[in-house]
Amino acid sequence: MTAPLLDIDDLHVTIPTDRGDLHALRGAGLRLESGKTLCLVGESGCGKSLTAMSLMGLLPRKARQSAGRFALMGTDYAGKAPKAWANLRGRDMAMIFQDPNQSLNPTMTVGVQMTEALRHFEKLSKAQAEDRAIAMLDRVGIADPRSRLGQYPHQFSGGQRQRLMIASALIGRPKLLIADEPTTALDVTIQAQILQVIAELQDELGLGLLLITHDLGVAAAIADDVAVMYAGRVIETGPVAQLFAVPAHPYTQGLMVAIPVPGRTRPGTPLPAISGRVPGLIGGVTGCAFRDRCALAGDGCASDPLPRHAFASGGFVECTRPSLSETRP
Amino acid sequence: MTAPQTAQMTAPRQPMIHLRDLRKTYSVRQGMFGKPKELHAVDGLSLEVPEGTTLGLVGESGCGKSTAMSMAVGLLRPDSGSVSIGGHDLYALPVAERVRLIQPVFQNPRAALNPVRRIGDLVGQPLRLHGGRDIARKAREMMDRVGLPTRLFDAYPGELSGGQRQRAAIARALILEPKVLVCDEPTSALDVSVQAQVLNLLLELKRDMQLTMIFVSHNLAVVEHVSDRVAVMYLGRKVEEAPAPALFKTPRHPYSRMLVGATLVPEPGHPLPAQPKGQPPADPFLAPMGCRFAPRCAFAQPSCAERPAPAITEPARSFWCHRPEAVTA
Repeated sequence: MTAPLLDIDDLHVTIPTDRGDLHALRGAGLRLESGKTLCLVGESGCGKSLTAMSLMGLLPRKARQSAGRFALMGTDYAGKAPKAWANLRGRDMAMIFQDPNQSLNPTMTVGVQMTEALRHFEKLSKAQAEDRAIAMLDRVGIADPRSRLGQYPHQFSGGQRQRLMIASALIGRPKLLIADEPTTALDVTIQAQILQVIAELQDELGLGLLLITHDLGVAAAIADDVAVMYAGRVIETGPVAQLFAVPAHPYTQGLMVAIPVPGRTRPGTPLPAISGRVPGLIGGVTGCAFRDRCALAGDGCASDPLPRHAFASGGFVECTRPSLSETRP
Repeated sequence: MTAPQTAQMTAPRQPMIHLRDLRKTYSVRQGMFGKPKELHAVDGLSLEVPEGTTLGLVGESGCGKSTAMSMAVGLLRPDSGSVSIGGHDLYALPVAERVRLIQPVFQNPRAALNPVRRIGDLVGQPLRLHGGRDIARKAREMMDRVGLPTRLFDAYPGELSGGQRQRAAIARALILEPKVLVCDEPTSALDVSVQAQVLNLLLELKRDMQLTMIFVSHNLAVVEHVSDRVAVMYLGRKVEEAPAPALFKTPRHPYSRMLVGATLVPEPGHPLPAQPKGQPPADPFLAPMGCRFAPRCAFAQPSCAERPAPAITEPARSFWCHRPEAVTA
């Protein structure tokens, strides 16, 4: 069996603050195969974006990181110099962000921004790099790409700017694409188009896609596997069909029923909300971080380590509830 | 559109809020030396909302929803048209009376609440400005009413969670007991578990206080959940209005169909919605003065762009289209 494209285990990120250490990631883990899509879902502050930042080596300078395994394409970089991992960025892995306005330099032409990494890594000439950029712009659906290379980001619409970001990220032919809420700032009709472009390119290039979203609709539409994060840990993962059909963790179950779904929820009736709020992560948390909001919590929930139940169909859940094995194959 | 009164046993309910033919045109200069062009942000919008009901207003960014709502609450004067609430002409009233008729709740409570004022002050502020008595007691009562613990009376907005801040903004909007509440994307900045809490609160307040609401959102599932009727806007005009279940089940206007079709349901197994490719972005300057959706419409004929679309009225539904038979076929 070949090594997975991305294999992360026991990832910890701690950020010192005035009020003490913030344990933002508390042993998160991810596995992604080439050509597959893993959606990382969860609410604000759960650590999903921080996980992406850690993967890209873009953590705040004062953050401390450690990992049990930090491997791309079979090479484990845990404990190695950060420089070794940084060399992968922009070549073997690339990232697109939620707001293309903050990622594009408004004072540089699109052509210069897109070809920067190519000229750096592949030592291409300006003309060669521009040809690649034109082909890529054409591929993501931007009309008349040659003349648009000389334009500035403000001359593109919001959806086109996100297409630009995708083109720039994929121009170096990475193996892994990390997309952090790539469609959250877009209208729904544009969202569908952008997800379509990402999915098509993924097929063509055999990309592994790590897509971060808070929108369960996006996850259901494009994920092969889903990982649910809560308070800095992945608390449940699984193939998308199984995880949506039989969510095992009480938090995942709560998320699924809290959103109105046309045809499923009755309009005008109260939605089952999750009471309480996410615990503060300063000083760390022991046991299950969800237990204060959980209707099923018992004595065993307060101690570490939490039992991890693996499903035969793939994925796992971290929960003390004994009846779990019956819920999902 | 309304049936003859004699044909009904009881007189139809008078609308609590009635927007009549609102128009707002901005003069926009493109580039530093460009000639100013006219942007028809809202182009003849009429809406009626019966007392105690909720009208959902949907459409993509730039469709004029927020401009229309600014005019509805009196923050912006239309070029022409009128707003009446409970039979009063809103623009003829002094501000002190207007604020007792209609109040807004905005998307981002962090921006709506002054960070250096205490929650109790903020909630009671409208009473203080508009000559109320017993301000602190009423503010406490209203906080209690919206599910904000009164121990937060002396807290600052920064100490509250996102959901609590939105509750504070709702409490402030309701303390003058307005007839109409305009909610502009009230849960878009919130996590889904918190969104459920705020939606439940709005539904409960509507029922208990006989509130009339206009609920603006780009999230169609949320709009369907809270609305009695839904109006769809495209580039400044209403293109369809229908009871919420009918609009989502059988949208008639091509744009409504596109919007509903592009919505991702949180259930795996559905393919990504197919989107016609190569369609131009919705540029308001390029939109024809006939049917404004014609350039993006799969059913359009050249003549559609020449004249405004005629109203097609059915029981409980209206939409504006030149070619309804082609769309349904």
